Amino acid sequence: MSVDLKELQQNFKHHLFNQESSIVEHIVSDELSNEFRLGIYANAYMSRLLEVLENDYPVLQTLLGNETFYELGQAYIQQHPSTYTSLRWFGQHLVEFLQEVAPYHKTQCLAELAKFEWALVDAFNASDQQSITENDIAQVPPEQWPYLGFVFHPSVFNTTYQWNILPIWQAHKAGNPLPEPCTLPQMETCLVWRQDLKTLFRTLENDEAQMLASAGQGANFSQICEQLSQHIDDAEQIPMRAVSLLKTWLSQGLIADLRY
Amino acid sequence: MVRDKSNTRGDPTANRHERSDANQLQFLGIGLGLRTEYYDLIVQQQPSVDWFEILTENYMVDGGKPLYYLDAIREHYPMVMHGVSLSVGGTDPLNKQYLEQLKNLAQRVRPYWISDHLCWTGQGGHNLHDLMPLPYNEAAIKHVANRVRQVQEFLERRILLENVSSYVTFSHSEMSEWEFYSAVVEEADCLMLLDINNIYVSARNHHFDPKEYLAAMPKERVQQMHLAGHTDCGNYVIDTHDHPVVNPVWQLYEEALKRFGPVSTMIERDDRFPPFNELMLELDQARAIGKSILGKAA
Repeated sequence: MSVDLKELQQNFKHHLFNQESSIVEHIVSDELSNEFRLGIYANAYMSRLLEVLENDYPVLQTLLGNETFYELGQAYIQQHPSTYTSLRWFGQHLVEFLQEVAPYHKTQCLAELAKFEWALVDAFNASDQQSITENDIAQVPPEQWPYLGFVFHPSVFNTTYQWNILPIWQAHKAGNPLPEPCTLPQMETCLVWRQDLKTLFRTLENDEAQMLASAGQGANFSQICEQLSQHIDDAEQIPMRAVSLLKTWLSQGLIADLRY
Repeated sequence: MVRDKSNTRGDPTANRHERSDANQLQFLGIGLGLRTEYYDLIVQQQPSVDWFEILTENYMVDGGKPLYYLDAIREHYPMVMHGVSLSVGGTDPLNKQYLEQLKNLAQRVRPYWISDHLCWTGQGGHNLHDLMPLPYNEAAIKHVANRVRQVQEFLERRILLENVSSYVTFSHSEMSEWEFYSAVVEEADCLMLLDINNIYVSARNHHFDPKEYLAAMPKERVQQMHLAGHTDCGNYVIDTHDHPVVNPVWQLYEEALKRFGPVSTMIERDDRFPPFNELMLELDQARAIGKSILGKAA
């Protein structure tokens, strides 16, 4: 490997990252200065990565306004330069960035909105896997039901938030002015998944959110029903509610496999 | 509709390389870059496009829409794979994980050929997502050719290298771009994807005669050509792929056909996507130029 080539590329990269580098003196100037010519690359680098963030976080961009969004994007690009060949992963640290870095961390709503938008990206790109149906679950012997566990489709994600994330997202989608961010009376959980190539989402009742979380952590059907008792007083209603939610999950393609 | 043409250009180098498959230097006709904006239209209407070029990295995903449409469209059209991340000019070690992904995707797509760019795209573990320029000197020729050979050995096939648009000239350069490009492909024993628009863009940015560039190309290695639009800023030009192909580029394409004969050619459009029929008109224009220059052979 040529050491000179390595140095040249290091210096060029530092110019893209910081606009300060000794590479300038190695670029020929003519009617366009060397700095202007290097600037074409620096602009392209920045605008390409900002465009990725725009595509992954369009509602966050609208909520913040272009100027603030680009400031955020530039700070993010400085801190998290891409390390993947695919741009699909470039925006993956933005939620964490918004949670930790001033002044964004003071506005919890931003990270919550970004988390929801990233869940949509994850669901869109998740692995393909066939979902099981009611017919598959009908094959489970009755004595095995208490031990039944669930493997969710790779596109299933859920996100919880304290702010009015969904009305903001929906207003953007409809092309309407965004409502002012405000806190909700209680935390909400939203389920995101992909079915028949469509990325979908819906909010969950507390009991379904708990059932989904437990199942996702490996709880079996018997344990799930036990936990539902925290939400349902009438013990007879618990298995009926559990089966009804399970049917919904099956019809929505959320379950990829069973364990028993 | 034209499908799976088998009229090879009869070039002896098609079988010269031990690892080359029988499809090398095949003439596929006039193709188009496959873009998500047109997925549904292509699946539903199966337009008269001879072949599609996919952007490799867009399909290095776990699942979902891109792979679904890739398979659906591949069923009906020949395809080639065009990547932006090999970084054959880079000084980081070759990315083995990327190469594995590339090989796996090629097994799925069964492309007629695989191409990437004569450039570097990352350094120190960072990916810059741009086609970065190289100095044109002997050390760079040896460095790049050695890496291309490693890639070809891994993929068990020859690859195509594309000339990129550039905006800077390094004081380290000892030769012209066309001398450098020709030397790299000879030394690496790889094929060429000649981007006619990039030649035009670089000629404007660096004040050389694009015809001199074309004249220096080793004819037997030119497997594919690209046509695209750009942004003309007056005293410099940026390769943006967001406009129709301009007349001077069409004229240069005519010159290329005179020199190389029929070469699989496609239109790249990456932004400001027009209605599909506007792209079809550009394909028609490419076909008409081929017919006028080459007669029925095109």
